[in-house]
Amino acid sequence: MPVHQITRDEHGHQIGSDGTITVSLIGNGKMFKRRAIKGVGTEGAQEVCWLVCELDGVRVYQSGRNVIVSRADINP
Amino acid sequence: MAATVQIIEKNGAGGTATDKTSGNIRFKNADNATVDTANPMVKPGAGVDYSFEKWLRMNVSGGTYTEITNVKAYMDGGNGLGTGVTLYAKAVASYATPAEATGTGGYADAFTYTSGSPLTLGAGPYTSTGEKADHLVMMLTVGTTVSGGITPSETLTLAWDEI
Repeated sequence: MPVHQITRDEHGHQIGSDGTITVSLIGNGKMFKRRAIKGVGTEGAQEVCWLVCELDGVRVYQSGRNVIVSRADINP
Repeated sequence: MAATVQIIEKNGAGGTATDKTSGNIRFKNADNATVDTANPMVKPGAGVDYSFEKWLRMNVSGGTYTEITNVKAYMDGGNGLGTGVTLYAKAVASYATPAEATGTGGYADAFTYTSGSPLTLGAGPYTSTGEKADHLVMMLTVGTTVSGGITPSETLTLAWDEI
């Protein structure tokens, strides 16, 4: 699972990408990575990274080809 | 870039750290990080047998990041450890030498902490490398209804926000 990179473009917009999918935040919101290690303490531990983009209380969660739009605070 | 994060188990008076990110954590009647069958939990004639505490903590060992916030831990919601086995968890700021638990005061059933209602370990923000947020202290009890043998593994998740 790749870890997203968050950068800014020439207009100052936040851009998040996992190398395949790119999410652009236009406006005064916030963008961050929600990371997790699932299965801590087992040989099957996996790293997970979601890109979270929030604007006016609405969040977009992106992981691979899956996108969730919600006002809820969701964990991997 | 991103932070390189480990989950460490701390043992002994000095808190010697062992990387347990993808290594088994074995609850037992001793304070060590060794995964073996020495010092096993014992089925009691009455009451419960308490394990030694497991002191776990987030450790940023490297990488590049600006800040980490909102560190939390949770289980999958269903106790798959078997009949008579209960896992407990709490958040503690300062390290203390792991001891055999003597009660459940201060703890909650670890399986009540789910992705929708996680155990908060620290709001942050945290920067740089090293140990971050509160310790996740866990202990396990076995009761009179337990079956013998090694329990199935369970899924503990440590999550955080990062920019």
